[in-house]
Amino acid sequence: MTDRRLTDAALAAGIADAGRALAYPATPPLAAAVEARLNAERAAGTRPSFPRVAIWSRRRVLVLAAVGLLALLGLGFGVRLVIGAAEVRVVPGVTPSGPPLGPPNPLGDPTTLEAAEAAVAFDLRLPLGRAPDDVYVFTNGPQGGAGALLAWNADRRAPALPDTPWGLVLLQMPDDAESVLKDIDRFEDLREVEVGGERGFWIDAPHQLTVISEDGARSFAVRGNVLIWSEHGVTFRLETSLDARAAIALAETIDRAGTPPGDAV
Amino acid sequence: MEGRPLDDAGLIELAQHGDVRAYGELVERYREVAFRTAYLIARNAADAEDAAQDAFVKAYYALDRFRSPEPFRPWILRIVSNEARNRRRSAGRRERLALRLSERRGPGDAAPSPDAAAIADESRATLLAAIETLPERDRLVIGYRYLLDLSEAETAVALGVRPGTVKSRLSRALERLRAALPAGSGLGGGTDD
Repeated sequence: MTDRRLTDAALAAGIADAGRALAYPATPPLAAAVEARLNAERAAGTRPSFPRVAIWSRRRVLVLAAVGLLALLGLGFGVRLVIGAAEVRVVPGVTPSGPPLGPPNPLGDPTTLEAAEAAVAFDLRLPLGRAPDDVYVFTNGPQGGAGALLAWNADRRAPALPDTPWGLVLLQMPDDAESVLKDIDRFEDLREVEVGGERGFWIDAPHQLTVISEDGARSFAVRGNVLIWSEHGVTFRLETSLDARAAIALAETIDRAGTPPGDAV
Repeated sequence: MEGRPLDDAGLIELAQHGDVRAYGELVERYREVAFRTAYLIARNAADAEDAAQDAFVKAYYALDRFRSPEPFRPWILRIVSNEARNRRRSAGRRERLALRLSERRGPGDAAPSPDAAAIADESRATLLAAIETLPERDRLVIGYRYLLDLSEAETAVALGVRPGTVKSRLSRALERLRAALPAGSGLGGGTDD
């Protein structure tokens, strides 16, 4: 029957030809409107006057030291630290609210590892050990692009996180997704660490997690320990009951080439 | 802004330092493809305009996350796409997009390829109607790749998937489109039997 049907190339050429002949509505003068909005927001002071410049990676040591000093001095203003898609905010007095991140309140849609690998625009990477027990895919906002949540049920090497059956939760999302906010009470709840030579944050105090996905913002109360780092354009967030040293050691087993995990946990 | 026009990278660098006029120049370059992208998703002109405008404003404040060697067009289209999808979802509307052909081609339009020439104008309308019956995932990959004429790499960035995924999605989408075409339309439609 193939000979009676258009080939993909012929069908594609036909669609492209129809596309060139499409009658779209007239394109509005967006440039003037966008400039007017940006200037108005600048004048009103409702937004920063220019895009945030990613100074953290270039001057992180100095900045962190300065921020730490300010925190020690007890200056009560919001402090923000950015790493990849994650932003950590120091919000004095914040009380974590919402469910834990785990069944029955996961993130995104359940799927298989293979489908998740096809859905995301980067190579999903796995720590050494068995394959994840649960896999979810979510779409980040506002820039879109899929991220993945991989979860492993608790076992002797990864004790259960509070109020969930999971012992390990690994989020992976593109750095440009701007999709994760973490609100911590005190600057002292945060430690800068290294994961495989990359800069990371370690948070070992209850805090608020907000994930901005295509479905809107969802908040979770986090009572596990969290390691955040970024590598090759992908932001990783590992939640675990392990301590910092064990969590970093586990994170550093994550394969660097997208190869399947080993068999034994 | 006088003299030789700046390339995208030059305009982006100025915009990153707060030059709104430079950013406006960038918007001007991509407003048409951005609006058309939003239109294919939002399905009406007013929502498409709002989505495209909001996307350009959001992109301005996110410019620090733009990686300069990468092309701007797919990056902004990804933001536009997401904005348009969010807008349509929050509005809860299910409007049917009526893709219509222009009554005549412009003098500068390219002549149809030999393959495309085999498809009559009436068949083009049938083809567009069939595209409208496809699931959103199929419509988007076909729309980006063929209606908006993005490259596979640009389509991948705009959809937020890997280039290899674009190939497989396109293949499946074309197969479903073929099945959606009415038998006897001259487009080889219908299912094999």
